[in-house]
Amino acid sequence: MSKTIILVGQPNCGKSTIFNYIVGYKSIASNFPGITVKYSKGEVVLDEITKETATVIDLPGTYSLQTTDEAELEAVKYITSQKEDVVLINIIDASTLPRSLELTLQLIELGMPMIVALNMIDEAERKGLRINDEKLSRILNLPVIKTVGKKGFGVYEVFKEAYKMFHKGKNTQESLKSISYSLTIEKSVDKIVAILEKIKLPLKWNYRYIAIKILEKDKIIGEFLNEYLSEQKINTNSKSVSKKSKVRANKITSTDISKKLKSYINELEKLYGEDSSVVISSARHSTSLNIFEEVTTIGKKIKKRFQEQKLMDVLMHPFWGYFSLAIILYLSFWIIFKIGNLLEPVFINSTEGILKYFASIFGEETLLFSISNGVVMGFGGGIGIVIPYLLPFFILLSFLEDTGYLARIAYLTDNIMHKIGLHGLSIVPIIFGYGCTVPAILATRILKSPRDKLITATLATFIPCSARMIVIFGLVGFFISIKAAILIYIINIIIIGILGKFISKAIPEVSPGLILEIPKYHLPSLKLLVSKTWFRLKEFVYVAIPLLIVGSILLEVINYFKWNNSINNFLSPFTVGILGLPSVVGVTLLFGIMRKELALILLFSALGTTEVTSFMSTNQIFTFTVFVTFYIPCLATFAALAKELTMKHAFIIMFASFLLAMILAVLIRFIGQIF
Amino acid sequence: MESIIKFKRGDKVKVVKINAGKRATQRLITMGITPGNIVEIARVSSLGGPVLISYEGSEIAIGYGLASKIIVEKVN
Repeated sequence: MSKTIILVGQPNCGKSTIFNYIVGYKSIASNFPGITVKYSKGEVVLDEITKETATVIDLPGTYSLQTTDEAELEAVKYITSQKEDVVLINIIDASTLPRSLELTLQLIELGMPMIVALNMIDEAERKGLRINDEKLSRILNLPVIKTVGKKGFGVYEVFKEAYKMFHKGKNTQESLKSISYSLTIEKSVDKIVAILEKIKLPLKWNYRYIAIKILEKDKIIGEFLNEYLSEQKINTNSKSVSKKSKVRANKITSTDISKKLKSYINELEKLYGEDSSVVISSARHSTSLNIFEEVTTIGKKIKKRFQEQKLMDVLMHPFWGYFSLAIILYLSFWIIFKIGNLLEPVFINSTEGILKYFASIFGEETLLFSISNGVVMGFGGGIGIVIPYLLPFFILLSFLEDTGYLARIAYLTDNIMHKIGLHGLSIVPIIFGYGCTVPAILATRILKSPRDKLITATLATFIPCSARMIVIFGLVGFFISIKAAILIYIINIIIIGILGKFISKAIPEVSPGLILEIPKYHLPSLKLLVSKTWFRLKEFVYVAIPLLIVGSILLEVINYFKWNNSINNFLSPFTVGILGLPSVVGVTLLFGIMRKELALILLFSALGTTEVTSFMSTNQIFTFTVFVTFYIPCLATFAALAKELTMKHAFIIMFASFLLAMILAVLIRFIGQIF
Repeated sequence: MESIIKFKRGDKVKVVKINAGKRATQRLITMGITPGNIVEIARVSSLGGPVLISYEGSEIAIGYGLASKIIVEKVN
């Protein structure tokens, strides 16, 4: 059987850093709570001689095994569903030991082989905390190893210990006995354990863990227990009729058990005057605090450097905080698009060079040339987004994450975003949406809840990206007025606000309100920055580039066979009938799905002139532009949506955006006619 | 005894009671916002934004609505 090592820890404990250190360039590590919503997998060589390996799993950070959100639930489900040949490595941020120990206590209750890594020990020592690791190891009955993940200090020792555990085994019962709560709680636990033994509950987890979780009113355990009890009923019912009396007896036992368990919970609640789950949490908290006090001596704190304190104050200040936020976001935006604008022509020029070469081989008017043209344009288009825009964007985003500034953004903008039913962090994808929709959607990964992710990604698709800006300013701005172009932006913001309110009403919030740890400022490590950027780029390239190549081959083929007219005719009931536009716009709208600015370039070539006003009225230009701004996201955006959400969601957003664009365009068409 | 949002920056307060739902209460307890513990107010809410609370060296932002349900008393 293959061996598995699971890394468990609270958010910001440096788990992903250790994972990255041991596994290499395969995962991402970050400062922001819950960034690793999808868990990462890797492999580690445990024994250099026998080449024995183990799978390493990096789970999403979880504050406790009592889950409050989906990412935590997944982590807990994963841990508790493991059976054999598993070693847990519980990574602890030593500088927040009392809080971190609460998770450790719960993991101990699970009764699985475990090692504790006291990570960021340097940070703790800077705070003046001297932790006696040997004493902690004695109390918990577990191996405890000091580590500094960023520097790799102690990391190999942890995995060596894991190797020992796989081979020598570990009596987990020992550490189980090391934790006990108050007498009253222990009594309730004992009573429940006695019942569990009596009904011979299959031993999926150890009874003590189940008993405590029953007192905590845990959902997973509750379901497991109910299922077992109802199964028992069915089994006994299916027996022959002659055993009817016995059936009844069993039935009574089943309901009796639930009743008995409830009475134990009530007993405890009466005694403490609080919900039993809170009683257990509080007990665990005070036990952790006691252990912390026992193993730690508090020495002299190394004072924070003056500048650091000053910086902290300014960046979170009720006025200067927003001021610096605006500057930081503006600068990031500016850097990305400056780099993008510098690099993009390089790619366009090189694709043109390649195309000339193909033209000389195949001849210009051949089908083969059209197809190769499609491949080059699709590939070039993809690379033309990835290198100039995504690369600087990801480096910057990772930098903001790793320094800990992202959590500050969430803090600063929380109340503004609340107005459209979202949380603070959603501002990041929305701002970047004005540059390019693709990185905006990929940035929704920083949001923890799938609901927030869905809403933010949906809204971000409607933000006019720089390609749409070209259309807005090139058409409305140039042929009507700059004011009219700005009007489109205003309409857009209003629609997004309404849409946000509407969707967040439709998908109500389940989270209890913002509880967000603000991590300390860190100087990001270059190695992590590079590996994270690479990881994210790679994911996008695999999805988007094939899609862009197929799409552009298709369009080239349409061009080659001169299907333009038939497409225009086919689309005319829509373009002419509903939108009231000239029928030549049909193909431009179709090509616009590839890249939005193509809609403008192709409009000029379809009309045969850049004097659009001689073919289209002011109202038509406005209608066309609004439609292009809102309708179907470009192919690369579609790929990003499918990647970050699901294919189904991507299709729904595509359809909805088309519908919305149509409604708006029709409205503008008729309102414009009145004036 | 008053809600935590009534206090000034730099005030040290002792948590008395949390009037929030079960989930939120548990999470707060895990983060150290537990009845009996002393926490410091690192930043008050501005414009209805979150309150920043410091406990044992870690800083936790708590949404205004939830923070108003945390009852504390001032310690000297």
